[in-house]
Amino acid sequence: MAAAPVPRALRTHVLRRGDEQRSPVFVDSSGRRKRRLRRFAYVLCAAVLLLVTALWLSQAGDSVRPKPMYPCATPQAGPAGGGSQTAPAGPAGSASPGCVPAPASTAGRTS
Amino acid sequence: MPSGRWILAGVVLFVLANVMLVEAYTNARFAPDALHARGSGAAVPDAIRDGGPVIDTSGAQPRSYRLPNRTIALTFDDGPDPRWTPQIARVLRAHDVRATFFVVGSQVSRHPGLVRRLAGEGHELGAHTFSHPSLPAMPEWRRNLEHSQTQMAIAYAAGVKTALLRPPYSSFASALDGPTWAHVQETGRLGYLTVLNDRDSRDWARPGVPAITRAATPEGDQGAIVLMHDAGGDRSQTVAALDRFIPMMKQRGYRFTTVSEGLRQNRENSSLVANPPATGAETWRGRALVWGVQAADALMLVLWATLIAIGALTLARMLLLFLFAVRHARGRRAVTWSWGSPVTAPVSVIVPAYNEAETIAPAVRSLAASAHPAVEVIVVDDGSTDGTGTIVNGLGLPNVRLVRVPPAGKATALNTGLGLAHHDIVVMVDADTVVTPESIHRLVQPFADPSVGAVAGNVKVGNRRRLIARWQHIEYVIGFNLDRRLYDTLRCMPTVPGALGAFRRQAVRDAGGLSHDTLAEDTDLTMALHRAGWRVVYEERAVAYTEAPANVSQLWKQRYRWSYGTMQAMWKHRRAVVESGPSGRFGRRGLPFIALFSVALPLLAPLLDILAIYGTFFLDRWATAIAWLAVLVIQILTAVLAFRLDREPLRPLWSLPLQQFCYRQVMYLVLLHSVVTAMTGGRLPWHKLRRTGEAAMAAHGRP
Repeated sequence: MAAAPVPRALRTHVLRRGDEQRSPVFVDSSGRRKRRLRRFAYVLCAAVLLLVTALWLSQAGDSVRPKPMYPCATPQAGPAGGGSQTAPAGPAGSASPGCVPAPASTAGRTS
Repeated sequence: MPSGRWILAGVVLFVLANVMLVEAYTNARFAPDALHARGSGAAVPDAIRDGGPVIDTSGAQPRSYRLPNRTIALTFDDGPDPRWTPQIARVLRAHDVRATFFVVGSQVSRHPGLVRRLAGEGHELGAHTFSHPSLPAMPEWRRNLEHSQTQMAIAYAAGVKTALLRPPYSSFASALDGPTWAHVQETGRLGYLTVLNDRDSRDWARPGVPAITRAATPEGDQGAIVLMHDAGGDRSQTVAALDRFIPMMKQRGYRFTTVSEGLRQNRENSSLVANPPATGAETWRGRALVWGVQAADALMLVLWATLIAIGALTLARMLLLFLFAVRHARGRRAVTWSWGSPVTAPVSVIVPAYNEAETIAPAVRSLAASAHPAVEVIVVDDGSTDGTGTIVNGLGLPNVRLVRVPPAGKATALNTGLGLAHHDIVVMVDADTVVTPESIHRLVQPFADPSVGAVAGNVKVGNRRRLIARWQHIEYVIGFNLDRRLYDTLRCMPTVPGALGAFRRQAVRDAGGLSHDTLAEDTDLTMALHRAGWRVVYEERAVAYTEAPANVSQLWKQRYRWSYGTMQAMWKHRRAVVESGPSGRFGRRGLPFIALFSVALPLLAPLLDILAIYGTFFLDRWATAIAWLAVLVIQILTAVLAFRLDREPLRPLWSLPLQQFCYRQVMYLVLLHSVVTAMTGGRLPWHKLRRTGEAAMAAHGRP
C-alpha cells in the first residue's frame, strides 16, 4: 500500500445493521401487488375505452331526425291567416313519393 | 412491465384528447362563428321571401306559413340557462302562457333537467343546433351532426324529438339569402320546419323594457312569432318585459300559443306534431351524449381547478423561497454571524467508490489537500473492476487510506468507512466530486453548535459545457440556494446530499448507519437524524463540484433513483407524522412540506403542458401564450435570485426557456415512472452512472 498509515491508536468500529435480508421500501418480491394492480389497470383501461368507443359510436350512427310532420295527404289547406290556396298539381315531380307538391303560398300576407 | 405502462399512458392520453375534443366541440371552438357576408337573395323564391316565418321545404314546392291574426307565439333562443330559463318559465306560468324554446344542444346536455321541466309545463321545444355555429360555413356532415345531436340531447332530456328548427343568426324570411336558403331547403329534406320570426324583440342588446316590448308588439291585429332569448347574458330585461308584454297583448285580444299550436289553427296543419315522442334508441344515444358532455365538463373542471391550485402553490412557494432565502442569506452574510468557536477537531472523510477510475484521482487529491487541520480520507473501493483502487494507491498521499471490500452497495461501503473512521466528525463525499481546499473546514464549522447532527454542503455542477448539464446547473443553484435555505430555516432539510455532507459519527451510529431500505440512503439517514432530534443545517460556503449526467438516459437513471428513493424514505419515516417530540415535529412539518413540493407539485406539472396545448388550439392563443410566459417569468425571477445569492454569473440562464421543452418533461415523466414503480412494488437496480471525469477536470484550478 502506498498510503502512509493513519494513526492506529484509535479504534475502529463495526456497524451491524441486520437489514440486509429485509426488502427495501415499496418492493414486493412476490410480484403479487404488481399483478393485481396491472389487472386492475387493464380492466379500468378496457372499461374506459369501451365507454368512449360506445359514446362515439352512439353519435356516429344514423342522424336523428324529426318524423315527417305532414302526412302528405293533406296539402290543400292554405296557411293560417286565411287566403286562397292553389289546387294540388299532381304527383309528378314530387320529391317524396306520395307527397303532392304545392306552390308556396303568399296568401295571408297583410303587411 | 414497460408495455403495460405504455398502454396506461396511451389510454390516459386518449381519454384526455377525447375530453378536449368534446369540450372544444360543445364550446363551439370548432364552429365558424363569424357571420358570412350577406349574399344575394336571388335564389330565394319570392313567395318565400315575402311569406310567413315558418317554412316547409319538405315537399317539392316550398311553402311558408304565418300565424293567424291576434295570435302570438313567444319563442326563446339559445337556452336553457340555469339562471334565466326558470325565471322566464315562472313568468309564463304566472300568465298561463305556453311558449316555444329553441334550445342549443350543448346547453341541453349541461342542463337536461331544465328542458325536462319546460316540456313538463307544456312548453314546446325547438332545435337551435348543438353549438350555435354559423351553419352555411360548415360542411354538410357537420350540419347534420349539429341537428342530430340536438335531437339526441332533447330526446334524453324530455323524451321527445322536435320538428322545429331555427338556424342560428337567422331573422326574417325576407333576410334569407342564397346560402341560408340552401340550408333551409336542406333541413326541410331532413324533415324540419324552419321557424324564423316576425318580430325581433332585440332583447339581447338590453335596450330597456319599453324598447323590448315595443319591438315585440305586432302591427294591427297581425299574428306574430316573437323572438326573445333566455340565455347568453343578463336576461332580466326580458323577464321584466314579458311580465308587461303578455297582459298588454292579452288585453288587446291576443292569445298566446306555441308555434305548432298556432300553425294547427290552419286545417292543413291540423296534424302537425312539433314534439313527437323519441324512440328508446334515440333516448339512449342522447343519454350517451349528455353523459359524455357532462363527464368531459367535470374532467375539464378538475383539470382547471388543479391548474389553479398548482399556480397558487407555486406562487406561495416562490414567495416563501424569496422571503426565507433572502433572510437566510442576509443572516449568514452578517459580520456577526458565526456557528460558535471555530471547529478544528480532526475529520474523517469517507469516499465510497465503485468503478470511478475517471474521477477518483482528482476527487481524492482535492480532499487530501483540504485546509482543515487534520483530515483522514478513507476511500472504500466497493469491488471496482476498473482499477479505481490502484489509482488511489498510485496517488501516494499520506492521509489517504484505501479499503477494498467486496461489492455490496453504497450504503455498505459507507458503513464500512464509518466503522473505520477514527474521528468523531465524518464527511461523506462522492467519488465524482471535487472539493475546494476550504470546503471541508467550512462544512464542519456548524458542529460548534452541539445540537447540529449533520451539515449539507453546497454542491455545484462541475461540467457545464453541454446544454443538459447547464440545465442541471441552473437546477442545482436554485435547489441549493433557495430550497435548502428555506428548509434550513424551517428545519426540515430532507437530504444531506451524498456528494458533500458532514455528520456526527455518533449520530449516524445511533441511527444505525446507512440502510439498504431505500435507494436514497442519504435522504433516509437525514430523516432518521431529524427524528432523533438532531438539527440538520446547510452551509452554503462549503462548495463541491460534482459531475452531472451528460445525457438524457444517464439523467433519467439518476433522477429515477432520487425520486424513487425520496418517496421510499418518506414512506419509511411516515410514522413520524403521528409521533411526539422532535420526530413528530419533523413528521408533521417537514414530511408534508416535502411531499407537497417535491412530489405532488412536480407530479402535476404535466397539466401545464396539457392545458397549454389545449389553450393553443382551442382557447385564446394570446391569453395562453401570456399565461405560459408568466410561468416562465416566475421561473426566471426565481433563478436570477438564486444565482445572485450564490454570486454565480447569470449567463447560463439564457437556456431557461429551452428547458421548458424537454428537460421539464423528463423531470415529471421520471417522477411519474417512479410513482408507478413504487405502486407496483418493482425492484430498482442500483443504477451506476457512467463518468467521464469532465467535472473533475473543469473544477481543477477553481478557487
